[in-house]
Amino acid sequence: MGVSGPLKPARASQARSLLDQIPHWSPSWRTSANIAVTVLSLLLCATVMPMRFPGIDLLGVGPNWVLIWVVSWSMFHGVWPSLVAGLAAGAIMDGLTAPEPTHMVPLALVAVLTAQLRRRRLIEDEFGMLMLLVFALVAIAETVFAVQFILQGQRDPADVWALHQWLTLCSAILTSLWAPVVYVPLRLWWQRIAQGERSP
Amino acid sequence: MYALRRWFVKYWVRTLAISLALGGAWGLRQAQSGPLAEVYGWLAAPLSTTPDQRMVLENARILELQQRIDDLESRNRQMQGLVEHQATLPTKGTVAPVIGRSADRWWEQVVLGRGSRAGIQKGDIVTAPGGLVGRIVQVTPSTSRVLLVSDATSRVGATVSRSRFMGYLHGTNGAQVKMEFFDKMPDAKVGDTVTTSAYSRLFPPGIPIGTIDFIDTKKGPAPEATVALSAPLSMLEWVVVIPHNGDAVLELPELPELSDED
Repeated sequence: MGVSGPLKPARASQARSLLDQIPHWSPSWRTSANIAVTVLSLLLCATVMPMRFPGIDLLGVGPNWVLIWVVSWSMFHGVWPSLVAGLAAGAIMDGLTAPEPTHMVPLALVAVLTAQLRRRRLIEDEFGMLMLLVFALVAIAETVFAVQFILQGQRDPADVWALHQWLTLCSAILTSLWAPVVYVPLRLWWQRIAQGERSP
Repeated sequence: MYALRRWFVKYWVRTLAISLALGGAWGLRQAQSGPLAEVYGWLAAPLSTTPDQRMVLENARILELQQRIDDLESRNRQMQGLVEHQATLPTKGTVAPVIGRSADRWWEQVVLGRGSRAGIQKGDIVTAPGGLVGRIVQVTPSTSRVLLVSDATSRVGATVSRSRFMGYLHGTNGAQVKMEFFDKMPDAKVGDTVTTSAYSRLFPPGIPIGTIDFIDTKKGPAPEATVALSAPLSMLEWVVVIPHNGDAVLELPELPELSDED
């Protein structure tokens, strides 16, 4: 404590000190809490996907919360855990929409790309960078999806590309703008967990 | 053997975590995310709209019209009975609120706030003021998912009401759907009404779908019409689910029904 500076509201400092205690939790408790937060946050992101909050959707398109979750996870984990997370998130999305074509390919690609870029220190843990990254990744994911649709052959390629263009634009804008809403709490959590693992 | 054992001791936690994560997610995929849909229905319940006074009055008016239709239909059925005509369109249905849209905009789906507890089954028909909306593709105890007619994978057998020329409708993920005719020279004009056809197995015949907006006569092998849907799919709030076991109908050959009539 002993912060010399402008006084913070009591509530904020309480929350802050609670978060600062996380690295000092016992390892087993920390691990189980981490698993619970990870799984529940992913399931929450998947559950709100069908919801169109008033004022958030753009031409009937909402933010891709699951993609933001996958990017957030991959920012703090290695390539292999990211691949697993991407596949798992893709399987859940398949269940929410339709099994073919699968979401597992684009989301796994997004996860691995993020983890690789982070490993090579090409991206920093910073908001502007994150939003740009999410914008690009949504475009990549939707393009992979469109290609899957064309390969599947059930839809007219002209229709697919027409849908792809405006869908990608709307989804990329919304998803990158709303990325911090999912990213910031998860970052706070996983940073503390990583701190605890470094200094037991 | 020893190497395997050492590998297991070193990596068992990781292997278990990976198999749990992938297994759990795969389970959700196979269950079509049913548990998530249940949680979603529970979360969205307080958000569904309550009808205001104007709507109550409108509903009363609709109820009055509905009763008149019921009366007409029952008389119609009696007369059809006299001429041994087969009545097909069921009249009673379940009213369900729309609580969500498709989780991914590549599909045109909506989530309804009523499920198998309200008697909704897979294959049931969904209509709204205006006409046909879609078909139930997945049901959980208190939610169900509808594949809208505007989805690119949706196929509906359709008829031009005026001339009885037939074709099928497929969606384009927009407010309009395309109708492809079976005939090379169909008698169809802009403004004609399109309804589900008697040859459609997934839908009962005679449900209004929309009106023809544009006909592309140069399109081969048969002309293609653009149909504007009469139900406002982008602003659906309540729909009516009509029981229709489309999948069972698919399995049944049509001959036994004919022999039943004899």
